[in-house]
Amino acid sequence: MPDTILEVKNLKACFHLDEGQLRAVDGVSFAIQREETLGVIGESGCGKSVTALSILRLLMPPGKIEGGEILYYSDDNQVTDLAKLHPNGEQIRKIRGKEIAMIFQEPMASLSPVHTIGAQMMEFILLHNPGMKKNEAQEIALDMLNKVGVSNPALRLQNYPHQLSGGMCQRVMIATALSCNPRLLICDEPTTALDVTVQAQIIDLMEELQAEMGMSMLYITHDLGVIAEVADEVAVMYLGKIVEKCDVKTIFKKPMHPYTQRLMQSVPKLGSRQEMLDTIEGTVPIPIGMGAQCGFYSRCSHAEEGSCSRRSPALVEVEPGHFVRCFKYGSVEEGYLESANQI
Amino acid sequence: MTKQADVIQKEEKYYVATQWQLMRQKFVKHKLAMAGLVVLALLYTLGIFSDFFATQDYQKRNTRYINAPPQRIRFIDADGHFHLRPFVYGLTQEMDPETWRRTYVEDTSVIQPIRFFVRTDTYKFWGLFDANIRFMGVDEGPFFLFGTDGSGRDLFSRVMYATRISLTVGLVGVFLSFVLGCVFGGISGYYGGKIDMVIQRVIEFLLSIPTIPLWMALAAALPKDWETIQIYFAITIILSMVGWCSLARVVRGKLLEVKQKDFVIAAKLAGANDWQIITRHLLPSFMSYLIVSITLAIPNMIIGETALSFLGIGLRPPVVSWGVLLQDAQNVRTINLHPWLLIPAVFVVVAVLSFNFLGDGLRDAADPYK
Amino acid sequence: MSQQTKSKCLVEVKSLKKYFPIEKGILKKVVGHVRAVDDVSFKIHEGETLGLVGESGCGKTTLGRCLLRIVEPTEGTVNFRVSPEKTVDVTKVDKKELRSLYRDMQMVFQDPFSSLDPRMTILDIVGEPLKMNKVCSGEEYVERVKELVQLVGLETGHLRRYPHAFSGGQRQRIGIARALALNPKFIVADEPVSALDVSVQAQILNLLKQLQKELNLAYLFIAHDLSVVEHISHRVGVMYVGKLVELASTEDLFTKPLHPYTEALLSAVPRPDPEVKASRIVLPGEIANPANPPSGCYFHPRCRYAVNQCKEVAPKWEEIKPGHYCACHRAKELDLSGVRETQSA
Repeated sequence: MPDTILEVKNLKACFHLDEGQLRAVDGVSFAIQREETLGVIGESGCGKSVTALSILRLLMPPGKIEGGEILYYSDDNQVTDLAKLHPNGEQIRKIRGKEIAMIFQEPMASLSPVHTIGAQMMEFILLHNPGMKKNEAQEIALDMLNKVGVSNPALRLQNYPHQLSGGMCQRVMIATALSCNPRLLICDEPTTALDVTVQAQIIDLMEELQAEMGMSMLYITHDLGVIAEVADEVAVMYLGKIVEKCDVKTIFKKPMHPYTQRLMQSVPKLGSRQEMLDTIEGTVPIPIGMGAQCGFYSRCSHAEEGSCSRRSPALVEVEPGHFVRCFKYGSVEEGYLESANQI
Repeated sequence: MTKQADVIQKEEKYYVATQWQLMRQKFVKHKLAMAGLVVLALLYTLGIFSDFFATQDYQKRNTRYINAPPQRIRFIDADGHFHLRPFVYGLTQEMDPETWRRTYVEDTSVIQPIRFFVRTDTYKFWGLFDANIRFMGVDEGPFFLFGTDGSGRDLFSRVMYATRISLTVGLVGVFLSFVLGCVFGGISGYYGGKIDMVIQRVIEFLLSIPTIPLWMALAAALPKDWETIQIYFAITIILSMVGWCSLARVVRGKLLEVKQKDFVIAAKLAGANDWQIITRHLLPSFMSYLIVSITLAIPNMIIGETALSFLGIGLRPPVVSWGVLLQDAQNVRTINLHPWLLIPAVFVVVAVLSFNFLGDGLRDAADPYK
Repeated sequence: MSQQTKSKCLVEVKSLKKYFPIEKGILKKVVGHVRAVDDVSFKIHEGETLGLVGESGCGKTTLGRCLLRIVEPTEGTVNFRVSPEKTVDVTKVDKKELRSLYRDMQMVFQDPFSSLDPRMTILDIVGEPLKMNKVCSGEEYVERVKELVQLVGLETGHLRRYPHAFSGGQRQRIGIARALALNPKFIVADEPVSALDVSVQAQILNLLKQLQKELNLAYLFIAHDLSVVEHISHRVGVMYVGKLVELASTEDLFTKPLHPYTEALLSAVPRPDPEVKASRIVLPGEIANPANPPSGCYFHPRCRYAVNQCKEVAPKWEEIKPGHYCACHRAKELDLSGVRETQSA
């Protein structure tokens, strides 16, 4: 039985804009087990990146965590609520990078163009290992670059980011993120900006490294194919809420939430030609002043006037381990309770 | 239900809002810029109607009041009575028998109420038609809100006239550099290649010349016997000689940026020719940036004029500008004895700051599509 | 398949090349060339979709732009059949004739945000080609724009709105409406769905398919997403470092690829099915530098089937099977696997 490493409970994050309060993350709960990968799928604006940034307390104003807990279980079984920490405090800085590391979508943008790869990697390592000598740090950096398959690592340490390709930069980012042996790695669309063949290399690499180093992953992407490859458990997000959550096989075999179903059908699948794709009508609404209704109400073909338009359904365990947020499966009373809480 | 309809209507209003409407919405939220705008509006009002706001002819020498200090506007007299109408005390001159220095003492026995829209001596409004009403004045006796200078001329009236000159010198100069900048920057950016190379090198050369010596050289070349008006225009042209360079760079940069945009290619595919692309797509897309650059260029012009005139190579008396007025405050001794001669500097600072705040706000609002 | 061979050839590209000079120093001395498009030949038939795939930097976008002469090609010809009697070489015509050619060939862009002028209303954007070509004006103009907007599935009541009122998918529809304004026969669609969300992607793909049927359009559909290309294309071309390495009907290319690069590309696509753990071919090294390509076949340093011949001699572009072109020395002897087999197995 694997034990939990991170537990997010009813996380809420908002952006205070001129137009009103934008609920980017609206009551998200999940747990990540040791040595497992939780995949989060969703379209742009569903709040998946904001969730990731909230965990590391990297959410910048006008964004703000409004409520909920982010419980981190450290090695010695201590529990820290990251949501309560000061975003620049010493405690979070000790955890950020060392215990929980993150990889971003744009590798080029996350590396400083004026410092060499080596300088940046070593700075990161020395920051999290006070008292370490410089040559030791360099040793680790070399070792990590070797591990992620960068050819001629000694030379690469002296290169500047612009001298490397996008794929190579992402490898460097991974090497840096892993250099302090994090227990949890958050990946925010790490391969979206890369070509398929490079993406294949990076995904293979991450799976290898995960097995080798025994870390957990939170993997965020919009690509169903990538999720199918990397995730053990999958959470589908729509409009700041998790609408469905179960293990990876079930979600592809038997998606239950109308959004998940339509999403799967709307993607062209390699090797199976259809004349027309099934589409989800309309677009994702902007979550400002939405009131209490199911977020998918405006686009859902199963939507019912009355229940779906007036209340927000709860995330209900429909089958063991399979959670769905839809009135089709859940009892109305439960859903009503939650929506009453939200107002 | 009506509330929902309201929301929809509001949204629709936003959807059909033009670029300028969106810019205005964003601009009015910038408090500092709005403050700058108000101050500038005030200054320009003073400048445009300076004959009206001045309390007397700015050239009039009040020989009895040389280097008189500013008179305080009061509401409460020496006996502690409150007067609804503001007033000033009279001034009496005393001569120090040993140093022969003149000092002025307020004569609390004479109360001169300040009257608004008073009839005074006749003057020529805008140098065109006769008028005899001024904004404020006293029935008789001295009335020097900013004091007087060494010739006994009223500094307040002089500052009013100087405001007109200083604020317009900037505008005319900027307009000239705007035209030059658009033409050269436009050619440089749109056609590129060799022309671009030549124009860019010329700009670099012009920008590398230290401005003060350049101005001095050009100003020295102005014939001594020119009319004040001629000198005035010559100065604005001199100022814009350097001013257009940075503007041309802005135009070129924006042009290169917009030229890359897909919608310009789409316009080409739609069958538009060069001229149509420039006027329909390129110009409108960086017009707002141009306005920002211009707003930020005006204060430079004002400072330039002030500096030139202060050094005695810009405008010369009898024309008054803030710089010309500040010429009187060139040494420590006069500043020490007559600190009110620095009042024009306050106007320079306020005007320049306001322009910068305004420009800042415009810059933030310039691209409402970010 | 048979229907396509019967239909007439609309665009014929013959050894098209685009070399970008690399300049150095103040004097802009040309020290080399980036071979963005390197000797490419193919045909596009009336009413068909030719998909073009390849990784970033392989020159597929440049190729698309060369066809419309947004980028001036260095060499080669692009023959476009304007009418049954008249075929013109797009690379040779003068400015005026080019403008009239744009009535027949149009483009849909990748970025729905930079492709619409934010300062123009939808009426003006969609109607721009009509106005520029003086097709119609007044009432008729508004009516035609309404018709176009309806055609791409947008509401006609929103013509006075500016682009900022629309989402990415809707903007892409507006871009398509503009491209259709002059009734073109051929549209270059440069990654039209890659900037869109998954659920919106499907809407646009369906729209493009439906428009093709209704208006008998031919597309050059450029994309990096193989599943999207497979979905929409009749034939597919694969590019690697400025060269076409394989071109075949979608059926053939995805079931029986002939080029090792195609095989690797297909195997690399992650499948939305956790049961299928595809045996991925991981390509060693990185994509070749188009300014300094390797000798012989550009793909040989990364190819697991490479032999000595591949290092020395550049392979010829040949029709290996009817309608199936490939540039590989070993195309005839290799037995490569496509994607459909993997699935059935």
